[in-house]
Amino acid sequence: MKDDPIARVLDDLLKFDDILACMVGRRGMIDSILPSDGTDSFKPEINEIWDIVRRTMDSQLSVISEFSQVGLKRLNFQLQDYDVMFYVIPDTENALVAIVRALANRGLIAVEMENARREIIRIREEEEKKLFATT
Amino acid sequence: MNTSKLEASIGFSRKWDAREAGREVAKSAIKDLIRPPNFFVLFSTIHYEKHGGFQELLNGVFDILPHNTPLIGGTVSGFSNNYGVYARGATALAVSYPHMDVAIGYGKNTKRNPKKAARQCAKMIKEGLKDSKYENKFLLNLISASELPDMPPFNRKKIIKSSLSIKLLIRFFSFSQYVLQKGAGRDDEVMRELTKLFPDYYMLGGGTLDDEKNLRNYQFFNNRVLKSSVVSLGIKTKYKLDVCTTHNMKKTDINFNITRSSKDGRIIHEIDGKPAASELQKRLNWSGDLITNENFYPTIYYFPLGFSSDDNKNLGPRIIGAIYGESLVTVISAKSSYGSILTIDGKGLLKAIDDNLKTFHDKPNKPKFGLIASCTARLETLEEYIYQERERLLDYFSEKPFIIFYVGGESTYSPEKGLKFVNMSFNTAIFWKEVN
Repeated sequence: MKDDPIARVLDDLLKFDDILACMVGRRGMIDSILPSDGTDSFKPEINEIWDIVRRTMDSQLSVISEFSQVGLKRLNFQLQDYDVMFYVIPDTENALVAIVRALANRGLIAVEMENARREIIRIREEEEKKLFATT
Repeated sequence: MNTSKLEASIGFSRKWDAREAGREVAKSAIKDLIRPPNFFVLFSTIHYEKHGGFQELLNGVFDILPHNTPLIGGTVSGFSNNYGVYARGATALAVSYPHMDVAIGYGKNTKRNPKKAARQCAKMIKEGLKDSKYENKFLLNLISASELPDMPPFNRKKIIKSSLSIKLLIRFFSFSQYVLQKGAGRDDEVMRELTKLFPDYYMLGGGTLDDEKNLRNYQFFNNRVLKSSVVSLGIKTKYKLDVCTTHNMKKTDINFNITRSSKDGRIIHEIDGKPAASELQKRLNWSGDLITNENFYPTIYYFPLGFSSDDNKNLGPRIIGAIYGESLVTVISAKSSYGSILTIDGKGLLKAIDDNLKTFHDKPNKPKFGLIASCTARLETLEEYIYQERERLLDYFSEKPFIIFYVGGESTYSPEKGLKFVNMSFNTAIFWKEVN
């Protein structure tokens, strides 16, 4: 996972004080991509609510897998003192997910989430091109 | 090779380490310049405070730049340039042109004595440009914006229903303003003084910020990091320029009179003889608990107060930055007691850009470079749709360099249009070649 460029994009997001955890997730958490050191760099306060966040997140990822093909781009929900932001990766059933503090400046984080989504799309396109070239 | 033409270039870094970011932003800004820059304007987000510090950022810049390069800058909540839109990183504009004189200045203690700070800064600019013969005059002013004391109950809360008496809280706020220089930016007062001292200049201004926690912000002057200061870049050049402020706010039919406010007019206690916060929500038909700390931005920011700072009925937006008890805390002082609720939607925020750029369409030449001060509340409310703001600028500037820097309390001044100091606005300073 250390050499995965998408994991490095997630590493960058986690450096923001208000982003407690992030990943590229998919329904059932199959093939989810975590930061380079797995969940170790998630902020400790997330541990207390991780189980409930994970369950609600998974149900939202089901919604995403159903509606991403018809143009669903973004979902947000508030859980206790936290916001969970989903940015759908187009043409996939995956979403970039971040858990942030409810009092964080979401507008600023939204800009960096959008930059991360664009970077992930670029990395995937490059990988596809490489794959296409070798087959 | 024509070495007498103007060269302008954008630098940019997303590195986390302050020193490395400083080097990268300087290196990328000057890589395409034939001559050393006449000036360097640097904007950075607050993140470098924890990743080496701003002194290291500046040290990194001057590892690359010639040491006598005039530099001003400051912290912003985000920026947009020819590369993208960012809420983290550093960007810079470097300009090199033989037919241009440049001076930089600074004034300290803007929150305690804004007029004195403006005069201190003006003296340096006037001295630096006294022998210049060029007729087009420009001043970029970056001023420390409002800062909250970093202690409970302020911290990150926009709404305080404190168990402490609100009166006591506001009294503490006044003490903090003068002694700790934590409080209202008073950047509008700095600007008013500067316009008196430089009535024939064109000006662009903005309040430096952090990531909207409003706890601290910094200004850069050459290789020094300042606080509670104004830093200015004065230019006299052969190049033509103009400035423009647009906001596209619509007036609602909710009008009121401010019947009790703080001495400086920034904190509104009563409107139409009733406690301000409750009355405002009643007029908006909002239930008492609708505005919360969590949804403060997407609710209240779309409904700024319309106010007049010059006793006329031309209303400009000012944002409610916080609600303490029944008092509405704003960052701009109003002279007139008459007010109105203004409103806008996302489309309207974007149309403010079209309206602004339209005013430059009749200029004889295409833009050579531009600096744009946009309200951080526009960034906060547009979120990722802010990319649509940048696309409009890319269309207009084509390959030419521009930076939109997101600030709190933004302004333009021109001898023809006077001072526009408002919130939620889009403010341009655009330069083009004169017609021979």
